[in-house]
Amino acid sequence: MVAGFGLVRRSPGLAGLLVAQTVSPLGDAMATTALILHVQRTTGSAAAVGLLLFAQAIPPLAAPLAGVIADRFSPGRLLAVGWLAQAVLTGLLALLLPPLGPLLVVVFVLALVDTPLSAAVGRCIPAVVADDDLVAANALRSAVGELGAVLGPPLAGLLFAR
Amino acid sequence: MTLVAGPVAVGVLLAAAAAGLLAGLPLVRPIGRRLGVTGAIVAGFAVMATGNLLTAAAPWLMAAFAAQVLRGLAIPLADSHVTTYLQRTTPPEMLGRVLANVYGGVGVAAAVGYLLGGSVLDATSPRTAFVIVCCGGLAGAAITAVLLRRGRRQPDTGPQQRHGDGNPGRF
Repeated sequence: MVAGFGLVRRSPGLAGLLVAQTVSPLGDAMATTALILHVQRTTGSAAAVGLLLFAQAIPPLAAPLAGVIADRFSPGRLLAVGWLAQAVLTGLLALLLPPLGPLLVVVFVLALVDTPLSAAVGRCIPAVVADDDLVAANALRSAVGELGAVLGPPLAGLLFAR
Repeated sequence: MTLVAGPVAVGVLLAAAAAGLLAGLPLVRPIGRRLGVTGAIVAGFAVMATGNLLTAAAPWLMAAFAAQVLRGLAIPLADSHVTTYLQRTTPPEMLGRVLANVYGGVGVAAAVGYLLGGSVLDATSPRTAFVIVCCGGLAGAAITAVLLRRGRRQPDTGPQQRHGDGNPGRF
């Protein structure tokens, strides 16, 4: 962990990226958990929950197209626009809580927008750290992302239960 | 449940891999330096598969927990070195496409794995499912080792241009 602090101090550009890489998977995991609980509660159908997870699982099939987008645009701009679009869509979802059909469409679009963003983060890292630090920076990015994904579901469960 | 455990134990078992992942983070750099990037990738895949095999063989819950911690330890090792390998060997103008296809492939494999895993579980037992996953993981590690070795034998096309010089910059 101390080595991680040293790495961030040597490469200030990495700090913002790591914060984003913690917050974004945390939000994704919380949103998915909340949506599963919401769909289960409102429809009472396991099939509907399955459809929700399916809508999230399809967009990786668009990876070839997502890769072209990730290469064509500046990764910083792409990440800013992508994360902003996801925030707006999630905010609308929370405010409107649409019926199952439109909800599935929004969930699909959210996952679709996310597809080029991981590649954009992967493109950013070599630009902000020295080659010797590349392994450590990628490990740190992976760990903070996993941390968000692990903490998200219980946090969402706690908030949902209140 | 094969290990005669309740839902809380299932949660603890799922958390074991996450605990191993966090514990494995400080080990990534020293192991990577010793094995090299390609060696670390193959070792990471092989240890993850072994973790699954040991989970299948675990006679008690605590043994299964330890096996899943072992699996978790290897996740950052493999994950970070795969990304590093791609960043170092891919021309910058194609890196987005390569990373998106790798991450997309992992996502598709996970979705197919959930479907197949459920069917295998229904048709056999949790232990058999873990053994099948382990065999697939070890086969994946072996195929990766062969392909990486073949890639290293190919004629050098010269150093790839990095996106930046390592200094804090814009992206």
